[in-house]
Amino acid sequence: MKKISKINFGDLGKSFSIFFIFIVTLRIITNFLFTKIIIVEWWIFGIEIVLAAIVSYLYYRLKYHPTFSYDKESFILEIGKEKISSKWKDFKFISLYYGGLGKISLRLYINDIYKDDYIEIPVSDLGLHPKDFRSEVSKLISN
Amino acid sequence: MKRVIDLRNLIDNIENQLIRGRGKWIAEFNESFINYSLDNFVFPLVVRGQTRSKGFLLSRFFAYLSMPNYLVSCFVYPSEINSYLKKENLRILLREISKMMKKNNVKWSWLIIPKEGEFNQGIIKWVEKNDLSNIGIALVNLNTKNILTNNSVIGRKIKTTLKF
Repeated sequence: MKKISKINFGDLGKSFSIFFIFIVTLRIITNFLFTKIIIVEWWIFGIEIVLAAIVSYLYYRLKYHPTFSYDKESFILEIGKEKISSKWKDFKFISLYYGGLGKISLRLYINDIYKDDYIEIPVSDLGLHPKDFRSEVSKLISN
Repeated sequence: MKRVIDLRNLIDNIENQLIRGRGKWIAEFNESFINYSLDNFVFPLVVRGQTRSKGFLLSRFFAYLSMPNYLVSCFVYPSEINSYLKKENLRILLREISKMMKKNNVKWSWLIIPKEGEFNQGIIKWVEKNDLSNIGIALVNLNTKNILTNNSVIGRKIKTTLKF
């Protein structure tokens, strides 16, 4: 099975920003509640960055990190902890969906393109060329 | 002198133009299908979207307040697939598209029929007289890049939106 996995710095950055803001806010509030002063020290700031980086990386791995494995018969898609596996022949239609902000995904529809029964492969997050990958999948589905 | 374009390039060109927002004044196209089959017809390209644009914050909010969220689609059906496109086939094709639109609540559609060469006069006259208000039809001559559309508002918009 061919395996594709790539760190998506957009999602990693998003989780880092959220955790960093959360940790700094929490520290400022607890500082103020217990000491009535806000301590501003560079080493505390450094610890917060390291802590936010560790927590956000773990969160990213659990929530966003995409891994895609496939061969001629089937595929396995993992997004964080969620795992979906299926066979190419189960799908009838494929499309490229442009979600904005550079996010492109390949949608695999089981039967009806106007129903929400599809699997979405995050092509741009996996660093694949959308149209080339679509052509490849198109051949795999028609086999 | 006009540059001759081939069918593959035209299909890529239409997909790129619509996805990159060429038709944003009428709809935001965000999903493209290849080799989409509808009954007995196989379309090498179908692009779909909606009239309400997504945008970011303010534009999204403005679109939400001011625009209806109609589903729209664009079908590309090269005449070469059916080497000699007859009026009857075109009628059946339009009937299938209308049926699909009604079933899935699609408000309007474009049907682009490219061909490497001249269309027969019967088809041209039929398309010119066609008054379907929710389907715009365009006959594209790839050699001369001449575009002929039906007379509905949706049909005339194809000419002003897409550049070949």
